[in-house]
Amino acid sequence: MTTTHIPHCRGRPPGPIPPDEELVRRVASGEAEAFEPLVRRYADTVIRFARHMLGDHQAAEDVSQEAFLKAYAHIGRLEDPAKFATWLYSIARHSCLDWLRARHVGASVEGLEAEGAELEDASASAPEAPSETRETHAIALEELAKLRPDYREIILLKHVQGLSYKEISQMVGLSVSAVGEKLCRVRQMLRKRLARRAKGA
Amino acid sequence: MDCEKELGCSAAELRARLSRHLDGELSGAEAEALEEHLKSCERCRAELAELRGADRAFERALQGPGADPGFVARVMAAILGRRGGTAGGRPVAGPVLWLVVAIAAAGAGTLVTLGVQALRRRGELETRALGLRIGAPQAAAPGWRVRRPGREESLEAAPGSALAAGTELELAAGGGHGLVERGPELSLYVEAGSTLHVAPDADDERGLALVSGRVFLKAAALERPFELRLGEAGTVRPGGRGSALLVEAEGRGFRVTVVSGSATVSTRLFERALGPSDRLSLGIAGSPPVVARADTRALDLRFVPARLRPSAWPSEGGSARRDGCSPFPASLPPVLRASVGGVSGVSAAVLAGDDTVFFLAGPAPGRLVGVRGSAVVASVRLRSAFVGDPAIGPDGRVYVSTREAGLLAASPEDPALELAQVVPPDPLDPLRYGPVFAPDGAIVLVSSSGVSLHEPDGALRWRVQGVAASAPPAVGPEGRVVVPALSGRLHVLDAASGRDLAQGVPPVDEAFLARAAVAPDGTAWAVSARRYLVRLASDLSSGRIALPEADYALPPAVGPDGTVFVASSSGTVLKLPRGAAMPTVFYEAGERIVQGPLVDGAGEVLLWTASGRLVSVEPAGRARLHDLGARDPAPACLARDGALVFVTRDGRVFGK
Repeated sequence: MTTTHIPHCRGRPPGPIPPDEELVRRVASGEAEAFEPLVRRYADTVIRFARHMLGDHQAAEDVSQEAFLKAYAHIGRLEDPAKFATWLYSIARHSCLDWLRARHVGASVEGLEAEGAELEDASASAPEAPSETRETHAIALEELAKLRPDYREIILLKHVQGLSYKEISQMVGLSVSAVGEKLCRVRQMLRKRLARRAKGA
Repeated sequence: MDCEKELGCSAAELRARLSRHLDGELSGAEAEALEEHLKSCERCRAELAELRGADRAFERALQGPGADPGFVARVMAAILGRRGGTAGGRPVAGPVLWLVVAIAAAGAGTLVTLGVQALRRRGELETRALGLRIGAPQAAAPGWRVRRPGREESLEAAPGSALAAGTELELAAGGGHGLVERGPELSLYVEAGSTLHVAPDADDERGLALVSGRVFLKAAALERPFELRLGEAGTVRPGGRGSALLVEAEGRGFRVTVVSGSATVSTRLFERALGPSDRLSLGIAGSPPVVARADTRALDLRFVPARLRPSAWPSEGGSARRDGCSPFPASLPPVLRASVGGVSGVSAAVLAGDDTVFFLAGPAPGRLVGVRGSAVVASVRLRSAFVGDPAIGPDGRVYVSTREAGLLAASPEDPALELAQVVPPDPLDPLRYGPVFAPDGAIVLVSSSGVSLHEPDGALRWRVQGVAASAPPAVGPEGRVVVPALSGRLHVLDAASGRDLAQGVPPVDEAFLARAAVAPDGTAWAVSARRYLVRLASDLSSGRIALPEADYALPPAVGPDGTVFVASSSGTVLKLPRGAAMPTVFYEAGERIVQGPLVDGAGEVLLWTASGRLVSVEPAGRARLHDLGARDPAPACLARDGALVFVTRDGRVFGK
């Protein structure tokens, strides 16, 4: 049974959390507990990424857990401890791709050209008109869902994980310019869709 | 076009540059040239603004719930357990010890568990508008009245109203309390009969003065300790999540009492009277940047001593009145039946006909565990990883979905509990959730690409492709299968044909993340990720109700009288009585709700919170709290006769 505690009497003394590099070195030298702040620091990002990649909350959690365990097991292989985040993201990405492959979730190739008239019709007949931002949000979600996995992945790496083109290109094995082109295509697609909707309204 | 000529590139390249410009990925010279061009070109400026809008839309769409509170503990338990196993000779006590530390630390709300979340919270604090608002009314609470500056008459104030500077806010005398909220993090419970004054500051950081009465402070969703500071006079630090501060006027000074659950942790009298410029601020303790941030963004309580009533200090019925603010009376906890060691990740528990509680437990591939009375009577290793929750079929057998072996079933009477295959696996389309039974005994299975219905012997009745379920299905009284999807659609599949009966129903503009609930009259209720409670009646008429914006990842529940309960992860339970148009606040947990709501046979609403409590709330709103001594329950289950069975992720089995 839990009891009431006065804070700061238990647990670790308060203080700034050490940077990734230091934690990675400590984990690599055998201090497993130092991995905890790293999990804490990146859990939300990794799970969000996985959820949008897989479209399944439970699977996202499983896959994320697996990614952290893999990262822990192979932390000795990480050459530059300052790059823990991108390294972890690439592990998470591979875990997601493995999951998708194992489940044979097919790519929706027509997604990029889709017009999205269906949602607009549906929202026109909806019982209450959603506000501008909610509708925008919904359109963005729908566009994301329609994207081919390789495009979706780049959007997620950019917007969930905040990586640079260079980091993305290293992770997915594309040139920097190809990453730029893909991001541009997806943005243009959403931009046009939103602009059409604004005109329609 | 002129633009392309000016920049010496093709139209496609221009688009690419605009996009790269947004990401700060242009070289210095390219960026300069483009910026120069943008100064004079309205068309490109407009396109850039639209692209920025598209980006923002993506960013917003990609927000959403992060890791659940037990995630870090599970990962670390697995790591420390693994290390204990491979280091050779290292005692297995490692992970167990760690879990205990984690629970204690989380219970106390210390920094150990919360460092990063604070940083995230800080990010929100920085970006979110922090105006004060009137919270949704408590069921039995009297109304708020607001008097604008310079006016004599007061007006009724509706929940959700923003409070303007200089407003005087009064909660009519009576029972109960009202809430003033600042974002989802901070709630100020105001006792009926109290008066508050919103300071006439022009900036966003409006202070709130207690003119008379008393208030109760809670840092609800803030999973960090918070503290109360009074300039030179000192600081009060309450306990962790779920603890609260009661601030009352006393003599010439005021008293601050720290309450956790129904217990008083500490009380401190600040004897000196406060000057009008004294500020009592609620901040968030922690590492320096957080403190600094919290301090500047704190909810300020400014006491105005001249207007304090000397006798505002109720001595009568203190605890009862306190209960009105924080209904935390103690009562008997649910029965802990057994504790199963070495598990990581559990399913919901189900109750078989012979009163054996069955559940599935990791690590993968997992085991089917049976507990009868307080004895573990079965523990069968699975040959393929389990998926979702088990179910008891109409034939009394325990059914289990697996990744590679399809649907399996075992009879509780079989001493070996041998699992026989009922539906073979489809290697390209594995199952995603546990089985669900229709009233006629048919088995509903959800796979990655669709939904199928099988006869009790496993034969396929129908399969529907292209339904991307985002949560387990629910089955209505007529056998209709209700499947929520990320697309914001509720699919309602006909029992005989699998036809989607809800095809004409417009989707909501956000995803469903939780199972739907089906009322006895066949009405399906589902709650979307942030905002809507959707009703789909058996005649397929539909409607939706806008809820206060929050994270809704828990399935709604329908009570025996048709009342619908919806819990937000951040701790509020809303109730929508049958036929009502708008929900009201039924219960405020003051911390994250991780499982529930569930309505038992007596109409009590059950909730599980992040700090490891089971809360049962009577229909009238009175709550009882039970510390489980364990965190993170799997979804709970009400068995045949309304008996509650559940298991926590560390393997404690509660219930019948």
